[in-house]
Amino acid sequence: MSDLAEALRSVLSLEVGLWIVVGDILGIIVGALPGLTATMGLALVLPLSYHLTPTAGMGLMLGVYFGAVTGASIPAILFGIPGNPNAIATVYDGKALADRGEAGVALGTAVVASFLGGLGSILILYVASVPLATAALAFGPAEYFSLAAAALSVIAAASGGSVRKGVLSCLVGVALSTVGIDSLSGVARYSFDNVYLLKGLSVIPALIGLFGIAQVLSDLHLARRAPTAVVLPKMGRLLPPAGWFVKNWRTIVESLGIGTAIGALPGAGASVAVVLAWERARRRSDHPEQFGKGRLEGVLAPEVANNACIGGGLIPTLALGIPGEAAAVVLLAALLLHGVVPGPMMFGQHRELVYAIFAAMFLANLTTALFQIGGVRLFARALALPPFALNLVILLLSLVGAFAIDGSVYDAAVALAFGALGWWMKREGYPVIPLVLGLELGPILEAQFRRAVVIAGGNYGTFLMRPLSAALLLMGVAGLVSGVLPKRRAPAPAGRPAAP
Amino acid sequence: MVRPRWLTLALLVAGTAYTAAAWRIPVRPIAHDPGARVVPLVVGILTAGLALWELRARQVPNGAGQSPAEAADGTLDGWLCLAASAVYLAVLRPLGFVAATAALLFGLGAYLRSPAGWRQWLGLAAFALFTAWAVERLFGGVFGVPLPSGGWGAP
Repeated sequence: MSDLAEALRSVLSLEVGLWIVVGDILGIIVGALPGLTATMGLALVLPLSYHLTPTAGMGLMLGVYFGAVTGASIPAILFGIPGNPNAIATVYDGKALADRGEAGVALGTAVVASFLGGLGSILILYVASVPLATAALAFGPAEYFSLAAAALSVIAAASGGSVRKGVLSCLVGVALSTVGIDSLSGVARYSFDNVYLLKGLSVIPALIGLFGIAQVLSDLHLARRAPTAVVLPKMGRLLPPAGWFVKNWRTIVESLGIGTAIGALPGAGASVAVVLAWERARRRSDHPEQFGKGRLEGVLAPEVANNACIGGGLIPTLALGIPGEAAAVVLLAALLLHGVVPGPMMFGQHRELVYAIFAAMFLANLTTALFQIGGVRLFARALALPPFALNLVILLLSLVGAFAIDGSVYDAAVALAFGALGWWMKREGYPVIPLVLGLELGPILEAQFRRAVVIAGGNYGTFLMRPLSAALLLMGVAGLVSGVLPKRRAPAPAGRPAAP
Repeated sequence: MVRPRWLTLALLVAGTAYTAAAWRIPVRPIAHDPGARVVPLVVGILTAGLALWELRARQVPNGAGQSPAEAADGTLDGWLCLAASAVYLAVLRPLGFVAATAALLFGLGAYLRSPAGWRQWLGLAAFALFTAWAVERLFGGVFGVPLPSGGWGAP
């Protein structure tokens, strides 16, 4: 605990605190704008974080992450439009409450619930990641290969739509990751004697392209529309009595558990967690028939769950170096930019940074709650931004951000190419997230596979002979099979968006 | 509306070409190492195979609710934006950041908003110039990233 206290002191410095606050504000604006996701916000500030100290850079990124996830409740409650998929279940009861003139209490509940979900998941991350990282020190190359393969299989199958397209997207990511010099034998692959390609395709311009530029290209035809006229509904009081949260402690704990567990699983995502948490709260309630018609617990449960996914998602990212979803890939890329390799070794080599990340998460969670409560009317005005200007600014920041990493037009061109690819994938129903994870995990997958075979003296059966490796591979196969099986959808109230 | 399958076709071609190129990757003898071509070969064959399977699969309407006219509009906007961005990157160094950026924002803004009357044109020009200046200050001033100054020497 003394490490954490020390880290908290370092995070409370003016520089780090300032960047966390900047991140919060940017994040809440991103969250409040329908269509803009937390991952896109993270991808846009990623190049900026490179020019800060590691702690300040991570503070900025975490501020954006917490802000975007929490801020998505603003349009969900006020206008019935989820800012991003994390807030899909908040619409169910939040909009009904706003229609009844209780928007204030719904927003206040969402903010407190988000804070509690974030806080709980940070504590779980703190408690779980150190033992997990310690256990992972015993992993050999076979286990690492199987873990990466399992994560990719599950994500490819669970990313929505056709499993074939998910797997294809993942394979494209792995294929692109093989461009450049092979790290084990020094052989050049797919570089066509081009000096830029010899270095390989950098993940960061790819992330900026796939999440920033692709979004602009998809939304550009909407940019012709006039700005939305923002008419705020009646707010009423801002918070329910404190005793109400105490009375609903079971819903909070269950939603926290659902959010953290699903966040830690590769591919499941917050949109699944929020619907499950909402459904669980409905079943537990004495008045399930009132859910979807303006029940405050219907806002509490999903908002606890979506912020809980943040801490959950960082457990495998920090402890194992294996990100389970797109936002975690961007955070992992931010650490790599600073020369920090996430995984079990990080807990020994960069112990102070690990604890600074925990402390920055705590601070970002707290300040996001304070800013959102204080500035809800102001952030709701973000919807009035002219769509054409917003899209052009995102396009510009994406191109300049990619350029700024290395001062290279080549990186900006790579971002543009990935933007075009991501746009086209979206148009043809291909999920983008498996591609990103394939690109990130591809080098780990290949290097660990070959190392494991070398260590086993050329025996390819080593992956099945080691129990943990075999179990992980089995998990990957099960993930793929479950993706093919028909899905049972969680019910949604009439007229509301269904579970993804 | 049924989704187009150009990307799937492109993946089939790319997967086949990638596999063919994988055969030409030289293998350096390292004891028991499967070699630098194994993963590309497996990935290439799987990509081409799955793309072929996807092409042969029955098409399911996507239900996206976008009319063909809207889809065509979106496609044209997307391609124009891509082309404008590519030109922007090509002229970024010779023209300099502020001039190139203001031109990109003004050009795309004029296409998207079709301003009517001198007030709207002026507003668009002000938006383009202010955004270019503000982003230059943010990256150049706050983060110390040297952005191209172009032939004029000034940022």
